[in-house]
Amino acid sequence: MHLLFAMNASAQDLSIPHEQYQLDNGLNVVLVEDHSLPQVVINLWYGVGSKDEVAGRTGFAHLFEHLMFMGTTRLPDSGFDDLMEGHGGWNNAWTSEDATDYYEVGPSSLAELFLWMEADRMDGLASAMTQEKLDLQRDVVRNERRQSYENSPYGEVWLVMPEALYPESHPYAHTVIGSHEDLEAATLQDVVDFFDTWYVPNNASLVVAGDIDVDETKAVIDQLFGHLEMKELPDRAQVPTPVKPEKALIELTDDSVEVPLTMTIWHSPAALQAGDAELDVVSGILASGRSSRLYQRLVDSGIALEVDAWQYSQLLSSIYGVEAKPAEGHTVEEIEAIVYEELAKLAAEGPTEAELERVVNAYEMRFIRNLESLQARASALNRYHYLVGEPDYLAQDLDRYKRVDAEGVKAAAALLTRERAATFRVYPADGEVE
Amino acid sequence: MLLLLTLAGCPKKTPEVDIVKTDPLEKRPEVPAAQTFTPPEAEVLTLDNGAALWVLHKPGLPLVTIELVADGGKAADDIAGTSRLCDKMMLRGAGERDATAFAAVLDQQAIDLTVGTYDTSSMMTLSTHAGRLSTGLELMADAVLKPNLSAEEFDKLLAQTKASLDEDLARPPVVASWVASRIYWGEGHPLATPAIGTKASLEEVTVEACAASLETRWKPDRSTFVVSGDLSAADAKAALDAAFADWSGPSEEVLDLPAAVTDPGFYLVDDPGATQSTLRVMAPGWHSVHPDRTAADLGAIVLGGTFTSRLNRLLREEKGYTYGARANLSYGAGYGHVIASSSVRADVTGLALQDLLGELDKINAGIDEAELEKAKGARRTSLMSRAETRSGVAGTWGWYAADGQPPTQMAEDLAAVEAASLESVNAALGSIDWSEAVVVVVGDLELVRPQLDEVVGDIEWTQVEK
Repeated sequence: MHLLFAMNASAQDLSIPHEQYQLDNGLNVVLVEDHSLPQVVINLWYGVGSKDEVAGRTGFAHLFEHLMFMGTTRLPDSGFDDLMEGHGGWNNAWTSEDATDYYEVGPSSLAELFLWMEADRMDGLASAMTQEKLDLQRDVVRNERRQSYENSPYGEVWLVMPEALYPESHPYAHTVIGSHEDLEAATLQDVVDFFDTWYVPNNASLVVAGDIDVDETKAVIDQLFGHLEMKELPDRAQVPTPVKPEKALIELTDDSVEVPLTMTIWHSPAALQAGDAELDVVSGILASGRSSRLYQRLVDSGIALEVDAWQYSQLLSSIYGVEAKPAEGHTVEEIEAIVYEELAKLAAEGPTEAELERVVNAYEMRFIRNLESLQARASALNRYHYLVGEPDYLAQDLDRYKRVDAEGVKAAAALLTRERAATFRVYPADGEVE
Repeated sequence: MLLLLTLAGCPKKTPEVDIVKTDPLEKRPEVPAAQTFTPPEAEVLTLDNGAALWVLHKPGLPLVTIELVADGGKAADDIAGTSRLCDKMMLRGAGERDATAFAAVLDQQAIDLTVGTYDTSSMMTLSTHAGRLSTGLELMADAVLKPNLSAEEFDKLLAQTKASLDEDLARPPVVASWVASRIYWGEGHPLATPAIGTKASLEEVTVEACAASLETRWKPDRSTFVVSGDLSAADAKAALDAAFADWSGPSEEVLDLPAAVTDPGFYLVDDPGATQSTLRVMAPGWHSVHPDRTAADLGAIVLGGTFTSRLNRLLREEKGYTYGARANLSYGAGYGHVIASSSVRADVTGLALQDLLGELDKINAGIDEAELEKAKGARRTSLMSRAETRSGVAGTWGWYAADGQPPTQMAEDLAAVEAASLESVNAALGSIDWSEAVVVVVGDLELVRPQLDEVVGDIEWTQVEK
């Protein structure tokens, strides 16, 4: 195991030994040698997400992620998955507002094959695209929308949230999954344009981790990816962090649920920027564990069935949320009032030393646990590279939490006011919506 | 980009060149033989109190995970939901600490202590920094030996459990799973109801019943500790002997699971307004130590265990009916079944079910050599991945203990994968009797029923409640 860590030591002890370099075409490469098990993980991160979609094409970045598995000239149709699974490997991918990430896992004997497959589709995915493939994955993605949101309890909240939070022109003003209408409108030309624009080596970062020989792997990467041409990436408009949501109150009904839900959302600082760690600490103080403040006030007292608070950290700007479900005989309004009371108290009085210590302890353990697996390490290296340009940012990241003080927490909590919030309430279909 | 725009406006012309460019990607790499994966070996000991101890030493990080596996689980319930509710009460205050004080220590020291209740077992999981192990073990031992079982905490937990049940009942895949189990096992069978219980049964569970339930199930002679992490076998035994020194007493009864009273057939659950329908098939399968289980498992992987499996390929990648379709073996000590499931677009429910049932019939005829090799590769990789983290190791070996399997099970499974032949796998697949299966469709019946009558044909459907 190459992860170094000693509890109670400096955060600088937390590190993933690696080698990083760039090919001439701009592809970022990070190699991690770990012979604990005869396995390998490839993580290929493209710097494109739903924020980069054009008007009328919401959901396209994610739809494109599905199309990446539909074959190339060299490896047609379902060859990508057939070949990989035929040798004991497996893969998956995800798309967010900010990025699209592909990864493969399998015996270390597959390292070169994995790299060839990724280079192959980075080189020629679009030229093998057909209307039939597009239509099929469009159906699959629309099914995903139904399964994950439309036919899931409280799922509609996530569908209506972006429009309520952001002005229409903001890159985050629509969902990653997209609308049925826009998914239906996507064309073959859209696929080609998107691929040519974003799926280029200088917009990608490749992590190879596991039971590899670094020198051999470098040679393979150079041979397979080195000839791919870099392209100029489009300018991305700088957008200011929104201060106030577009709407203050959104009320929905859901005939599949029996318990109401209240979710309050604020705009918040971007990932790894000033205020981001402070809000994570606020979440820990408010709602992490039974000894947290909102758990005590709401759940332990029998007012709410559950409560949660979170900072969803993103590239351009983030959102902060507090959500809870009222117990029988209590209301969402009652919960919201208590949430604001606790936020105001935290902003005025700050946390105790014990609370700060509790949250930092939790983050220290989270860092160690999350980085036990090769997959988690590969993903973290690419995420940090994307956000700050440095893959091994673990120590600095943990250090952010260690440096949070009472004043920082007070300042972060002070921004979470009713005036700056959007409140989402979901009622059972037979409940009353005012 | 500028170059491309310029070219787009020019007549298309291929320049003549003398240099022959080679395609660096033309030749697909050969795949060398995979290195052999050797699973970790458990050191097997017995604690002074009689509990079994399996230790899988895994240094390198200051982490320790301990699984305490106790026989019983929901199968021990006289009233459905009792074991789960009472197991959770173990963490709602124990020893000298009330619920808040108990949680405060866990929170402050970033110690995870959780409990889960399953078909025939319960598992308490301690995951901690190695430097805080003594505190973690103190709390774990208090939870097992001295739970407070306060009436006030019981009422809170009961209210939360009822709300969780309501939420689960709003999830069609959960409903399909529960309905299938209810019909498969038959009314009154201990595995017929979900571990969480039912709305009616939860009204009957009392805090008094919890003491008896815990006393019956959590006994050292019916329990196994599995330790993985930065702790040697000797140190693990010493620490557990000290923490659980006062745990004693033989169990009063050994659980004897009655046979299922399966009522095979086709069942409908109405879910008005649903944009998707959930399909679930549950058929008799193989128990955890059945000699044919690995062969059957490899066959189930081909049917629905990977992305390129037959079900997912047909229903998702060819027909576009679903986001995913899968099949797997589900098993425990003395029982097992084959499960196939998918959530499909409501307007193609009939067609999707027809296709799914067709694939089930086809799998009886067996698989080919390439499919078998794919399944073997998938299973090897899956087993290897479970050896990566301390929690993965403790959890995997914990399930071996829960399912009545030996601590050498991973090595045995790997050997069985190597030994499986096309004949043995196809023999297992050919023996699956789908006529004994329970088939459940959860969907908007106004939309779905006409499709089922038209497409799937002469089937007698029975409508049941959630």
